[in-house]
Parts: sequence; C-alpha cells; structure tokens
Amino acid sequence: MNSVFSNKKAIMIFVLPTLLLFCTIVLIPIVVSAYYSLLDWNGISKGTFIGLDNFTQMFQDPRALKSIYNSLLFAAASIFIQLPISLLLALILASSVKGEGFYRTVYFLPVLISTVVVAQLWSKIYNADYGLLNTMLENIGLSSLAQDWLGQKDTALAASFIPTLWQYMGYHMLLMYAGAKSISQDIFEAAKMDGASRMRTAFAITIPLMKPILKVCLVFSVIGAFKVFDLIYVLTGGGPLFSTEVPSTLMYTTIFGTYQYGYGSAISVFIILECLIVTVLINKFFKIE
Amino acid sequence: MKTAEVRLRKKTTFIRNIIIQAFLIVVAIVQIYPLIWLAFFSLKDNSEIFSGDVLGLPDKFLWSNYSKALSDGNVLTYFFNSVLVTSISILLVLILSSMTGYAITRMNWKLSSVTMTTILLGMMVPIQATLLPLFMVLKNLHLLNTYWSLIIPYVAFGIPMAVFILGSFYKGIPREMEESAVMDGCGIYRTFFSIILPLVRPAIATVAIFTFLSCWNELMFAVTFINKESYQTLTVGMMSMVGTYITQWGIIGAGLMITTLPTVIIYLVLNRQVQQSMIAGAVKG
Amino acid sequence: MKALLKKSMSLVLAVGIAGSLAACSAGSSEGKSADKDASGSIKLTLWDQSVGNTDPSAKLLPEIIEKWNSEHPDIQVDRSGTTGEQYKTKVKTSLAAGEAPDLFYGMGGGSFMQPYIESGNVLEISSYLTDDIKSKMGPGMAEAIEVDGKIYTLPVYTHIANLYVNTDLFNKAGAKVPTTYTELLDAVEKLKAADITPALIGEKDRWPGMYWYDIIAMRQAGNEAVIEAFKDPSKWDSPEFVAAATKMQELAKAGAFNSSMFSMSYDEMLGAFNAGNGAMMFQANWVNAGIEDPSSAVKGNVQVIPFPTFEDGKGKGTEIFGGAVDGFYVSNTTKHPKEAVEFLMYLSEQLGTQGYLAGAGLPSWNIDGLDTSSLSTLDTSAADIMKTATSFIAWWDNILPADSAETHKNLIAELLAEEITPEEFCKQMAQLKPTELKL
Repeated sequence: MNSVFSNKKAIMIFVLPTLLLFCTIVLIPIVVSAYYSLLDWNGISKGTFIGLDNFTQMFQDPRALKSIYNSLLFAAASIFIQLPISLLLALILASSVKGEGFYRTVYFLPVLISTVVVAQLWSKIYNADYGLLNTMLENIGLSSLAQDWLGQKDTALAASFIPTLWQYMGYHMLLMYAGAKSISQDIFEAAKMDGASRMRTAFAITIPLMKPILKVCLVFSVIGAFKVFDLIYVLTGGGPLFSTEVPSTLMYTTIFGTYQYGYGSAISVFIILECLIVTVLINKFFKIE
Repeated sequence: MKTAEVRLRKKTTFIRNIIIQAFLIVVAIVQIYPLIWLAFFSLKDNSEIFSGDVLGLPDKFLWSNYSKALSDGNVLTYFFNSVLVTSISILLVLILSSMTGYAITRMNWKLSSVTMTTILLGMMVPIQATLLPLFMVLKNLHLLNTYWSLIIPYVAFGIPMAVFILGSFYKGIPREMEESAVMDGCGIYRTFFSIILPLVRPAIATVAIFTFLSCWNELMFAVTFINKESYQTLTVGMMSMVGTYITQWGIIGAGLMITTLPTVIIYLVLNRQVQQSMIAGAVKG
Repeated sequence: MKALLKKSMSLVLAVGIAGSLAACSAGSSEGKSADKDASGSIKLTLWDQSVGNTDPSAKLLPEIIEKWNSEHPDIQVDRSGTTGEQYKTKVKTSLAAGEAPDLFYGMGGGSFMQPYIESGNVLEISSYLTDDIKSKMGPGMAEAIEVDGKIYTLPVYTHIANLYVNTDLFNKAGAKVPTTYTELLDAVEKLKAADITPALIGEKDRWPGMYWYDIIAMRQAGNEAVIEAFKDPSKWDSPEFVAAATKMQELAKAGAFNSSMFSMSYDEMLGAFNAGNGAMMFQANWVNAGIEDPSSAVKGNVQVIPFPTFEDGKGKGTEIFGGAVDGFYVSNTTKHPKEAVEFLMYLSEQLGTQGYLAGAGLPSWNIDGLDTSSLSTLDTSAADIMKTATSFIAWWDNILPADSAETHKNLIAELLAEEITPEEFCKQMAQLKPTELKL
C-alpha cells in the first residue's frame, strides 16, 4: 500500500513540471530581485555592490516609512473593519435566512471585477465635480459634506482603501460562510437544547470552530494589504503629497520613475519579507490560542 | 398561556427577521449599486452624466457608446487573445496544480512540506517587482511577443493559490477511498485520475474561476511582454481606450462593461460549483 | 530520484540566474527582433506612445509608415504604440534587458534619455547626417540637438507652453486678458466673483503644476538665472526664486486654481478646459488639436497668449518655456543602423511637417512651401509667439536628473497645498542635483 503512495516516479511526474515552471518564473526573479537589492544600480549601466545600504536608506527615508505606515493602517482596516463585517454577514447567511443564495451571489460579484475597472469605477464615484458620492450627498441635502475625496490629504487614504474593502468583503464572506456551513448541525442542535441564545452560540461555538478559515482570511487580507498596488496607483498614484503612498507604489516609482533599481528592489524584498513574517506570526498566534 | 408565549416568540422572530433582511438588503445595495451605476452611465452621454440625473436610468439608451467602444481598434482581436490566453492558462494551472497538490498532500516523500512552503511563497511576491528579471528569463527562452510570454507567467503565478485550494481539498478526502481503490488493483495514476479527481470537481471550478480572474484582468505583464498588436489582450486595449475617451465617460463605461460582462456570466454559470467547493473545502484550509 | 530532482533543480536555477544576470549588463548584442524575413527585406520595429484620438500623431504615424513601407519594399517598418506611463515602463524594461526595438520614441533630451545615452544604449547618428538633412531643419535646430557635439535624435515638433484663455468666460466675468501679474490677480478675482474657476491644474500628475511654478520662476528671475541655477543648485535659494514661490502660493491662496486639482489628472484637466469648466490653462501647444476638435465646447473661444510678465520680474515675454525636445531614437543594438537612421530622418521630417499641419506641434523643420492656410488660429498664434523667442528653456523635469525632477515636482505640490513656505521650498530646491545636460 505505502509503496503506491511513495512511488518516486509518480511523485516526479506529478511535481517536477510544476516545480520547473515555478522556479524559472517565480523563484528566479525573486532571487534576482534580492541580488539587485544589494546594488546601487540604475537599471541601465553596471551596478555597484553596496551590501545592505539600500535597506538602511529605506528605514531612514521618511517617504518609505510613511508608505510602510500606510500599508500597516491598511492591514489594520482590513482586519478590524472588513473581516468583522464579512464575519457578521457570513454568520447571518449561514443561519439559513431567506434569500441566502441571492445575497451570497450579490456580495461576491465585486470580487469578479478587474482592479483596473474597479479603480476607474471608483474614481468616477469620487470625482469631485460629477461623482456619484458628491451628487448623492447633495441630493439628500448634505452638500456641505461633498468634497474632493481623493484630492485631500486627510480623506485620500481612507477613500483609496474603501474600494478594496468593498471589493474583497464578499470574498472573505464566502470563505467564512463556507467555514460556518461545514460545522456539523448536531452541535447547533445541542446548543439550542441547552437554551443558548444566537449570540452566545455564535461566540461560544461557531466562531471558535471557524478558526482555521479565519486564519486563512486573516493571512489573505494582510498579504493583500501589504501588496496592494493597481488600485492605489490608478486612483491617486500615491498622492496627494504621498498621503496614500504604499510600499508597492513607492517601489514602482523608484524603479521606473527615478531609475533607482537597486533601491526599488530592496523595497520589494521588504514586501516579501513583511508578508512572510506576518504569515508566520499569524500561524504562531493561532497555534497558541 | 403556552400559545401566548409562542405568539410572542413568533413576533420577536418576525421583527428580528425584518431587521436582518433590511441589513442584508442595504449591504446588497452597497455591493451592487456601483455596478448598476456603471451600466447606467455606459448608456448615457456626457451632458446627462455631468449635469442631469447622475443616479438613475438614462433618458435615452445610447447603445452607440457600445458600438464606439467595440469599433475602436481591434476589440475583437483583443477579445480573442484574452480568451485564448486565459483558457490555456486555466487548463495548464488545473493540470499542474491538481497533480502537484495531490503529490504534496497525499503522497509520502521527504520534501513535500518544503515544496508546499516554497510554492506558497509565490502568493507573497509583488509581481511588479519581478518585471525586469522575468522579462530577461522570457527573453532568454525566446518567448517574448508570443502568447506563451503571457501564459507561462500566468500559470506560474496562478499555481500557488491553486495548489493551496486543491491541497486543502485533498486533505479532506478519507484515506479509505484511495486504499480501497489500490486494493482493487488500481495504480497510482488510475487512483488519482478516476477516483480522486472527480471528487474534487468543485475545487477545480474554484481554481478555474480564480485563475480566470487573474488572467483576464492582468495588465502589467500584458503591456510589457507583448508588442505586436495582434497578440495584445483586452485589458491593454481597454487602458488605451480609457486614455482616448478620458472625458467621454459613457464610452469608457461601455468599454468597462465589455470587459466585465464575460466574467460575470462565467461566474453565474459556475456559481453553484464554486460556492459548493468553498463550503466543502473551506474548513480544512 | 531525490538526487535527480535536486540536480535538475539546481541546474534550472543556475541556468536561469546566469542567464538573467548576464542579460542585465547593458547593450547585450543578442538576437534582435529586427531581421530579414523570407523575402529578403529588412524589418525594423518602432515603438511610440501615440495612441488614441486625442493625439494627432496617432493618426499620422500609421499613414507615414504605410507610405514608407510601400515606397521601400526592402525596409519594412512595424509599429507598436502604448499609452503614457505604461510606455515608459515598457521601454525602460526592454532597454534594461537589451531587448530594445530598432527605433523608439524618447521623452526629452534630459532625464528620460540621458542615462541611456550615457550607457551607450542609443546609437550616435552624427556620421549619418548629411548637410542636406541639416539644411532642412529649422533655424538653430541642428545645434539644439547636439549633446557634447554628438547627435542622437532628430527634432520632430517644437512645443512651447503658453497661457490658454477662454475668452467667453473672461467676457462673462468682465475680466481682462492678463498681460501682467497684477492683471492676472485681478482676473482671478473677477472670475471667482462670477463663480468661474479661474485656472485648471491637473495636479494628480504633478507636472501640470510644475509648469506653473517653472514659468513663474522664469518670469521672475529670467531665463539666464534659471540656467545658472540648473548648473549650480545652491542658486535656487535666492530672493528671486523665493519671490516666485511666494507668487505661486499667492495665486493658490487667491483661489486661482480648481479646488479639485489634487485629484484631477492631466487628461481630466484637458477635458475640463475643453468643456468650458475653467477660464485659464497653462500648457504646451500639444493641447491645440483637442481644443479645436469638433467635440470641444470651447472651439473658437480660446486665445493663446504668452504668460504674463511681472512688474518686478527680470524675465521677458519673449523668454520661452519649451523647445524641440522629444524625438525618436535608434537603439544601439539594431542590426541595421544605416536603414534605421534613414527611416528616422524620413519619419522625423514627415511627422514634423505633417504634424504641424495637423496641429500636433510647431515645426522643427523647414516649412517653406507648405500650405498653412488650414492651420487653426491657435497654431498660428503659437507659431507667432515662437517667432519672437529670444531664448528657450525646456521642461524642467527633463533638464533635472530624474530623482531631482521627482523632488522638484513634489515640492511644488507641497507649495500648492501650503504645506511648506516659499523659503523652505527654496532651501529644499537648493538640495537638488545639478543638471547633467549642457545648457
């Protein structure tokens, strides 16, 4: 029996093509980027090896620090705003309400839409002169609240997060819904017999049993927050005055705007490491729990 | 007395249901209204978008926005290219990741967990950072300016998520299924292809839809690795259209709708499968 | 089997890394896309960023290439166009990987192209240029394109930035078209009183705001002082530039610019101006065609004038912001340099002259004998302004080294947002790097 499942030839056939492809296309570029990050290189002429100077520079560059701070804020917004809403929706839908299937489908729809389209759509929504948001505010008599959402330092950051939160809320909702649905019905029956309220059941039984899926959602949303690029790039380009800068937009401008290929690569290595560390931490946290 | 209590409870349940439904509907509107608004303004002209009733139905349905968006450049070529690149990518991702995921989660070999971790690392890579190194790899392989210059990166970057989803699904299959198959004299290949694969059909649908989304919507590789217009994809064409009609929102809206509709239709078709697979596969994640 | 797996893995890694690293060193002479095809004709590839119907070159380029291809069956040109930012990313990636097309469009002589010229990615074409072709260029052009006595590109259009004024809105507000700074402030006040946005800036892209500061600085300090400061950045921190920054901020405080400027892109700014949503715009003459387009609501109501002079300024109205800076370059890795340069000369002259007639830009080539009667008044007025020119300074973000250009634009955004004072602005400007160009 065991010999069948440790058939070396079969394992090779199953794994090797994927690994070959993965190494050439994903791993090598990472390794090469890591190498670039140790260079002072403009992407054109010969680079000089400068060790970790790019990383030291990054931690002294107020613009880079601001971008890291912003991405941490973004991650926090995902964890403390997006995920709880998704969880609430998932729990409600899993408790067999009317129209369950309809809501599930509708909530998931934004996930399907390309970031380019989402960014275009929201830039039209936020448009200071003709946008949906300002028009709506004016229609309900709140024209004093209408403003240039993406053009002001104090609103731009929140305004550029909302589309992502909006788009992926349904995604996490569906994952969590799935997690809640797969819990055995017997447990709920037992809880009901004991006279536990819905609230209590949710906190004492459902949510703890959903831990594995909550972990996955947490990891996905944090990695997504650290990597976010297209949307912010199209909506604000990191502006105004760096107020919406995140590491990946900064990396893009340093590489392709100012020819600091080495420095830009250092930022990308930082993003990868940041994601790795957080994933490990989340896994650790859930193990201790 | 008993009936009064029941009636009271019924009443509270009724009110609670109304509140819950109201909440769900509000969320549904928030999720869907921007898309409906997009559909509306794709049928309006500027004067109506900029002055009149921004929120509601168009006065006159301006289908010419769609014909303009469609006639611009080579939308049909772009569309064909997107379909071709996307479908081959999906197929390859499915083949590769279903086998690899199986070998990693169900077969016994020393490096399996290392391999899994390495592959999952792929989810953390910001793709903009890999642009230049990847360009060089593709150049050395003489693949630039071919469909393969998109398909290969799409497959490679699609594999981590696919292995992750399929892997978690395989983990949930009882060992006895395979053991009895082997008892019956099936080899590993037969066991995999005729026993295991059919079991994970919903997961395959999920992987297909996620791969579809990322390939169909990808922009940066598509711009950089392809120069010949005849190989360009829909997102690239759409971006230049946005640049062209920057002030004519209606036409932009039509272009956005044209790229989005196929996705929505495919989703509605695969909807059941995807949701089922997520329900069945989720917890083991 | 593990050994085999390990071996093949390390092989893949080694080959891949070696290949990628080797490819980074500039100017790798590896196989080019340009090659002879079966029929024996030479194939040249051309990349440009002229896409979409707002760019008149986008219509002309295919026509010019088609004509060339039919007249030169042995040298066939294959063109591919990409929009703005994505074009830059694409060109940079390809050049870095030594996979450049035979010919490509390059923005400005300065910060975009300078690194490639220095690293030898771009073919020096001086030796191919005959006196004949030089004599076809407009006055001063042959000298203007030289970099350290070498020539890398040919001029196509000349672009100069001027103030575009919507006379309709000015009349409505009872404002006078400004010729001095005081009149400008006055016009701003009157326009505001009439509930009209005085001037539009697409500051999301940051360079439209830079145009305003740069022309103000040129009017305040004069072109000569600006050129000195490019060479010796410490001079940016002098009373004249502080005065310029103060005026810029004064305009912003007076409400001269649209309140939505920080979320408005350059394209949206054009759209807004063409829709009649702002009374002034300071831009280069590449916007003419859009304003004159039948779809524009302001067609016929727009006047183009030199930026107002300052009562206390050293700059004159004849000192011009702009020049012939954009052009096509031949890649050093091309297999057919002679043919590529031949096509470059044809393309530059054809596009330069035909583009002038189509309203894409002012000519850098001799236009004697061209029928210019179809030109719009915007084009002829811009051409008239150019005739008065006593000196030119090109776009500052092309003159400054790339990272300094970035800082310059960001500082101006901070100035507009009143995040820094004019004094702080100039102190930080003094930290910029000197230009790498000969001015």
